[in-house]
Amino acid sequence: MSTRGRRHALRSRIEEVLPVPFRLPRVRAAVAVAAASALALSGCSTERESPGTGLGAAADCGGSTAQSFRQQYAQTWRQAGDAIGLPGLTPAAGTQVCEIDTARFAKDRPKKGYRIAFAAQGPTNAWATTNEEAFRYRARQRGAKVLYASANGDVNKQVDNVQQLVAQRPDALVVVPMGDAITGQVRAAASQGIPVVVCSGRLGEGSGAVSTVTRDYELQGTLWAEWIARRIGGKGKIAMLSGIAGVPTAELPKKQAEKIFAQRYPGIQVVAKQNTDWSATKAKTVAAQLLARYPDLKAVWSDSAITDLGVYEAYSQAGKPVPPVTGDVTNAFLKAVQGKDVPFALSAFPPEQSAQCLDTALDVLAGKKVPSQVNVNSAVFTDKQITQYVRPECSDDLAVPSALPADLLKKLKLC
Amino acid sequence: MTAPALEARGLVKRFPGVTALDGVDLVCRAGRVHALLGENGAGKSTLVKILTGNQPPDEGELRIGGTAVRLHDPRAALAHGVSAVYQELTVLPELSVLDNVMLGQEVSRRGLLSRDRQRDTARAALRRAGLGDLDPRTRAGTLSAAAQQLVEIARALVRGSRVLLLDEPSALLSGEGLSALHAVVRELAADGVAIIYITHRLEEVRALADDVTVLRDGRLVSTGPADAYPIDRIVREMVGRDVDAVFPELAEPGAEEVLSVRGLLPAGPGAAGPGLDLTVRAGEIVGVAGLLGSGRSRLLRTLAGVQPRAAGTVTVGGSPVRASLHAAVRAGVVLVPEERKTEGLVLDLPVRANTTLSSIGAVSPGGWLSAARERAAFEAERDRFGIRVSGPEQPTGQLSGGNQQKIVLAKWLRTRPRVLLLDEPTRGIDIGAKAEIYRIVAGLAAEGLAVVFASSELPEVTGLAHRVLVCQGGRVAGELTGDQINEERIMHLALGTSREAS
Amino acid sequence: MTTLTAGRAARFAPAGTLMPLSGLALVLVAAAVWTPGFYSEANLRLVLFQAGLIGVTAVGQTVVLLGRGIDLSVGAVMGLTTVIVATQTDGDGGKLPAAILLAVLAGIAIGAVNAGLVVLRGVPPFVATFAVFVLVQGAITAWTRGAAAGDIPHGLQTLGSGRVLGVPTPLWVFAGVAAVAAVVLARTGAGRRLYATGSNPRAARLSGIRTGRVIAAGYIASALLAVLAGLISAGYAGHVDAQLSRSLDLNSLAAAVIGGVALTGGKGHIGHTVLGVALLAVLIVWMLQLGAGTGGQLAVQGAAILLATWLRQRGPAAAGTR
Repeated sequence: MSTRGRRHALRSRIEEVLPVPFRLPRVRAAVAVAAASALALSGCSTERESPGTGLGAAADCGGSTAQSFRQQYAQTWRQAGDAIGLPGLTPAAGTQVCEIDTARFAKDRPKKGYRIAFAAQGPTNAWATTNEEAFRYRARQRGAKVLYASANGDVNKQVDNVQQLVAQRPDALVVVPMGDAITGQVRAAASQGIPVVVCSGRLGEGSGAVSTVTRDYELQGTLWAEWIARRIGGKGKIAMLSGIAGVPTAELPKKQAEKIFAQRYPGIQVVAKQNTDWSATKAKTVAAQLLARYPDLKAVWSDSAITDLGVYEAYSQAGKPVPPVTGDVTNAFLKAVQGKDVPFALSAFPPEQSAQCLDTALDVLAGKKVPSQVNVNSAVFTDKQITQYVRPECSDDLAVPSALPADLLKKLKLC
Repeated sequence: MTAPALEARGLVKRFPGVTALDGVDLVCRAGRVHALLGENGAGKSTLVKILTGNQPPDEGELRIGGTAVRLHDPRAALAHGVSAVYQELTVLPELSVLDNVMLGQEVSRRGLLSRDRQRDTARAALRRAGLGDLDPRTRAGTLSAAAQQLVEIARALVRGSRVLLLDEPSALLSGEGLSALHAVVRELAADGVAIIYITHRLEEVRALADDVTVLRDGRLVSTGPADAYPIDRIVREMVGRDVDAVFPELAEPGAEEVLSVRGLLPAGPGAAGPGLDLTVRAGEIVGVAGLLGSGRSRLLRTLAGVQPRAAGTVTVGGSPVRASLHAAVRAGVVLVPEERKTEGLVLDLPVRANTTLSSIGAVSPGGWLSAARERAAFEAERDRFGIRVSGPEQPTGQLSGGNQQKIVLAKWLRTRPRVLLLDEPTRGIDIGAKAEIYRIVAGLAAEGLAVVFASSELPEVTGLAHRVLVCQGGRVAGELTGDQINEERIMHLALGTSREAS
Repeated sequence: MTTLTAGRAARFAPAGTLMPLSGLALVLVAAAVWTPGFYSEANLRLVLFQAGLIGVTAVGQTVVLLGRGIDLSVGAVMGLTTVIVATQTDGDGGKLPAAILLAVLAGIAIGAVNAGLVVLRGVPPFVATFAVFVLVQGAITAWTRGAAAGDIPHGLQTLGSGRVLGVPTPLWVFAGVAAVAAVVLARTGAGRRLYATGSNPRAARLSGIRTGRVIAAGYIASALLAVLAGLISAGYAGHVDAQLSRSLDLNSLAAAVIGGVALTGGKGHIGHTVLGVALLAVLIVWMLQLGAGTGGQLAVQGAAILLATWLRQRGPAAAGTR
């Protein structure tokens, strides 16, 4: 039910205090990528050993390919904003996308296909199950062999997993990080010449990963904040509800949103910041208290549709109109509010992004140039488009819209 | 004459509503064993607390080696060479014997003691405490109660005690353990330690004491050399009246065989051999004697279904009884355990609740606990046994040992048992209450109950039983009836030195 | 002497309820001073709902604690109940009775496993019930593959979100459960057996009380009340909350302990539990209002437990030296 949330619950809090990876500290202004590229030369020359590039992998941040990668990255932001009427969004300050030369990883495809190690979360919730199935499905399509290991949501287990996977000498390693504690193991794998793709999450500095493929957390936070600001006309009281305190999936979008509210919308007053632990029950309790205390609350910024479900329950039960809410996507929320007057804007953190992680790994093995950072495209929509996305016949847990074929969804008991 | 090792004059200690000590004197000399006697509540424990610095006296003077001292806390007492060994063992079972002996002494005033020095000191103390053969690295928890007691004495010796208080050291001991303890006490006295020895077992006074002090109701009754104290004088002075008959007349047993045991063998290590055959008639009292560890308790507990049987049958009134506690209780076989406070009673519950503990169903018609019925049951038992309590709500833990034991008896008698098993029925009970318990047991037998009791006190076995079984090494070594019952024959059988052992 | 006085104070003297009562008064006053909005009708209703939800499980926890046990599997049973109701009914109210029956059977089974481990195998209750918690959690994950499908029937919403005379239904349920438990504990033979067993299991057993059955009944009662709480919770959220079955819900334990039920068994009564529940519910909602994060809330709860146990340790010891 909780989509990606739980996955990061065990993540080390260290990540909070470490500099967020892939950022150039010097590039401060909220500039567009194009502007950033002008600074790129000086920036990148000193950042050779920076997180995105890491050990050995040759990074080029100034070349034409790098520039096109950056444009692609900026494109994903623009598209996401356009989808809900927020034109001209640009990547967050400090986002750095470079070109990684993967020639030294290139190898011929063996007869039985490449062997790709997949250090996964393990089937602890629907999001993770789908994340794995999407990876396997894509691997079958592309004729790759998967060496799988489940961390069962535990970063310590994943440390062992990565070690064991590396011992099997895979052609590449895709890891869905459970926490920064695996950084050492990932670096060890990289130093043995195994290309590593970090998938659906981020790792701290010096992981040595070739590329990071994930939905941009800052984009999520930006979309939700900007939409709310526009919806309430830039002024009024709002509440911010995030998942689990200290978990990057909750903290990074929140930090980004706070920055936006503070810098761009002085008329917006954030009257409450609370955690819901991505539990609808807890969210309902929190929301019930909010509506009692702040009858004039204009909107609820939230990082999860699970939280929104609780907010919806609390307001509708109290007989009050539900304020505009934001979050990622769950079918449960869409099913609950379909046909009701609930304004919302959602942006998915799709489990199927693992397929894109695999593609990137295969690109590396083929010797193609890859970006150091890939922002995964996802569905961004508001209550106006609900009918396009809701799947009343499917499970509450289905991550809509799903890219997986119907028979696979049926097998997973999601539809 | 040199000054006494310890001299207390006119000690007074008042608690709200009660004067626990009222002008008590006590003079102990080096090299002598001083028996401190008195019933529970006579003031012995208060006196011990004052002497060990646990409580300050309200009035009175204390001299140690002739010097007046004030003992503000236990450490001050230790510094003056006064230490105590209590009835409740304070040995830490997880530590080694060495660590237990050196407890609190690890650092000397001169600095850190070396491990070797420590070991030597501990060895010497253990030797003096009669544990010279023991490996100091042994885990204390594995030792017998008797040996643990001696470890505590060794601990006191390490502290250089000149005055040693032993508070009922023999309560847990019998036979060999007791002799070992006595030997150590005598030896320590010979070394010049002044020993204050508190006991309820009057035979020990004869065997051990040089001087006697008797307390009653917080007052000093008399003090003097032990020769001047025959048992009847001690009893008279402790109780405050003549207890001419500690043991009541026993009625003749009936003819009906109530309990019949064939080949009973308690389960456990070394469960072998022919097992126990025993028949007890209605109204008969059978005593089970034997040294500690001879299997007395195990026998009773197996009969009561508390411990499993390896073999054998038990029948009550002709019907076989399965080897389970509940089957035994249903058949009317009930056990008054040795550990009264931990196995016999729920001390936190009020007396009324303990009285009906085994017959909750009888006072709960339809499952509803009837306060009226419970009260009536409690009052009936209180009157029947003369239990001294302030009221039905009094917590059971506040009662004296004798009154607690009466509640345990009452608890079981409410279930109308046919066979009453008593394990050390008067342990830790003062002499006046002992006599009462004996009378109650004899009275119950006269009403037709079959009684089997185990005891480490020989006078109790010879005085209360129609018949005596003597256990040795886990089996029955012999059976004595009528005129055959005397302490000497019991001891021979118990030690395996008897020619007539069967 | 110390334990003695403590025992008496806990069960008979009003002193045992004085501390949670004054704690409750203190928190209520503090809330009034710092958070004026606290006494709004909607907010009080939230407090009452919280009290109802926590209270139902706290009564079960009290029964287990009195028998010298502890039940850490409460949260898992609640979670399992919501999952069972969701998967079996998928929102169809007609299937609700069958689903509830199934949940009750599951509850009995879990209670019986707890009891079996504790009574027959002698596993320490803390370990046994924690293992069962993990086991049930794992079973839920394996069964649903992390994705609990299905919907909660509308019928349950009356139980979780309804109101009677303006008061949330869960509080009425709690009141009923507490009243029944209070009567059973104080006025029946079964209650007496439980207190005896918890105070001194050996003596109780040797007195002919079937302590194993008494303890087992306690765990089963606790599990069944957890099922009831699971139904309330499902009715409140209206959706399956996967988070619920994963959290080691210790509110029931906290409430009982804050109220003054002893962890050492045999001491305490439902009055204590009710006070503890009230105190905890007020505290939780007040913390929410203050905007304390989950960490802050937990810290305050922990502090309350520590304070409660510390005060209990101290009070009797001071009085016990006479």
